Amino acid sequence: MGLNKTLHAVGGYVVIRVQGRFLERFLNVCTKRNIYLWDITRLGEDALRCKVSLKGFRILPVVARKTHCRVRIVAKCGLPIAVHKYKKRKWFLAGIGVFLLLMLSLNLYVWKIDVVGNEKIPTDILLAELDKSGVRVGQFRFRLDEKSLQNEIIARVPQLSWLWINKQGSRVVVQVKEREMPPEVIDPSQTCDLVAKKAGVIHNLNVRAGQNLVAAGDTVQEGAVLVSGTIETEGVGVRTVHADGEVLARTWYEKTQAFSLVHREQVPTGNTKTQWGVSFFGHPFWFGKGDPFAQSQVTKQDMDWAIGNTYLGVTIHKNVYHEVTTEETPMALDDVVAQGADQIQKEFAREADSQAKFVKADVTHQQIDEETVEVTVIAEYIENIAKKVRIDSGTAEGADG
Amino acid sequence: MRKKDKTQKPTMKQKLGDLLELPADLLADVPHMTLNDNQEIYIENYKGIIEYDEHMVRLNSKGYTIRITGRGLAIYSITDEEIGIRGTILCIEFVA
Repeated sequence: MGLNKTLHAVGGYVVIRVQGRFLERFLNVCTKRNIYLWDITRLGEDALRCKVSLKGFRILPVVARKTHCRVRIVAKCGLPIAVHKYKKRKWFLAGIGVFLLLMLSLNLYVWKIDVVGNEKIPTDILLAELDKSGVRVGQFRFRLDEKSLQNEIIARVPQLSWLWINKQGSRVVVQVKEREMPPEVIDPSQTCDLVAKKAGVIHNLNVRAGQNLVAAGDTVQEGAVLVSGTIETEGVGVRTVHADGEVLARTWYEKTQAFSLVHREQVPTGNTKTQWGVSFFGHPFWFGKGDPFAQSQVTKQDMDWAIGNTYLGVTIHKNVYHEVTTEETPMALDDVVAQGADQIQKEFAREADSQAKFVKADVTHQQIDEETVEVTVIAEYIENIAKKVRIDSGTAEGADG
Repeated sequence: MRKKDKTQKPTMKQKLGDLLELPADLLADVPHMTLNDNQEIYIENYKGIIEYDEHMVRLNSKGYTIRITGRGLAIYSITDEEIGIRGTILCIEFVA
């Protein structure tokens, strides 16, 4: 029954007021003629209000005449009535149509490009590469063919091993995977020299193949040939081999860096200001003023308006500005020097060979003014400085010995 | 099984129903009522409205009249065979 009622509501119904002396007879005749009535309420001695379907309402005058009742319309409801009402408001309908058309046509273009997955390659460079292939803001969406674009861009950017283009409505999400560039390995069948990749003093040589050109205690510059792959033997002549081995040398690293004696920290004051903005198809509009504070940190939040995964070209921006003050705390000279030296030595450890042995470090400092101190660290390592370089090319990229 | 009323002779239909052990309402065109709390009554197989106002509804049915008294009675749905009444129902009487 409930469903029947719902169907009638969708199909349209009329709320009527019936007046007469024989209302029960009116109801009985209606049911006999298959006119469906519902929500009947008695309004008094000789009147009642009820709902009747549009179809039933058409034959109601006949019933009313027969039962000597008067029928008055109280309200008209339902979908057909609403449609009929809006039929007259042509411009309203036209407005809706224009709006939908506009949204639809604007949705045919790319309005936002997101690049995810890149760690080393800057997003700007990837965007520029994408732009060259036609993936740009304002591009017609259906002109982008993911498959061919993927191949095209991967071929052009050697650092990428994988690229995937997802079209999500007006948004294009480009997922990339960077290639781990492997060190070039020189095939043992090819001839090569061992060349110094850093300047240092030779400490120890462990040569498996090739002719030693240096001995322990020698000072070598970067690029000097340590072990030659070209062996000259008297009576036999010249032959070339694949030089191999380790050349351990003392290497020095030096760095001077200024450090502040005052520790500055930005402390939030608790005052915040939120700025809202909305961007339509990549063009942002901001409400209200931006950052009202002298010093602040900002947290940005973007919310894309999307149906499912389909981006509709509208993004809501929320910028929250947190006011901060800088708190200055003076620090002891010794602490600053120790921390600075530590920081510099960590940098050295990254620069040196992964298997380098740390020997010692000299830390000196010089106070420049009341707030600054210069820390100089000279660190000594013992590490393998040999690098294989192909003999024929000479300038070829070397590999770690 | 329905108890047989001594004053009423069982009809052929009822006899058949008893024989086949069918529920009574399936066969006979006797009124079938569903009552939800004291707020709603739904009657199938009624024959017509005799009287209706917000305190009382009298319905015609086969053999007798059903009189429903209550407060704020409204007919929420009505067709040829079924009628639904809402309101606070106080009494349902069968008047022969």
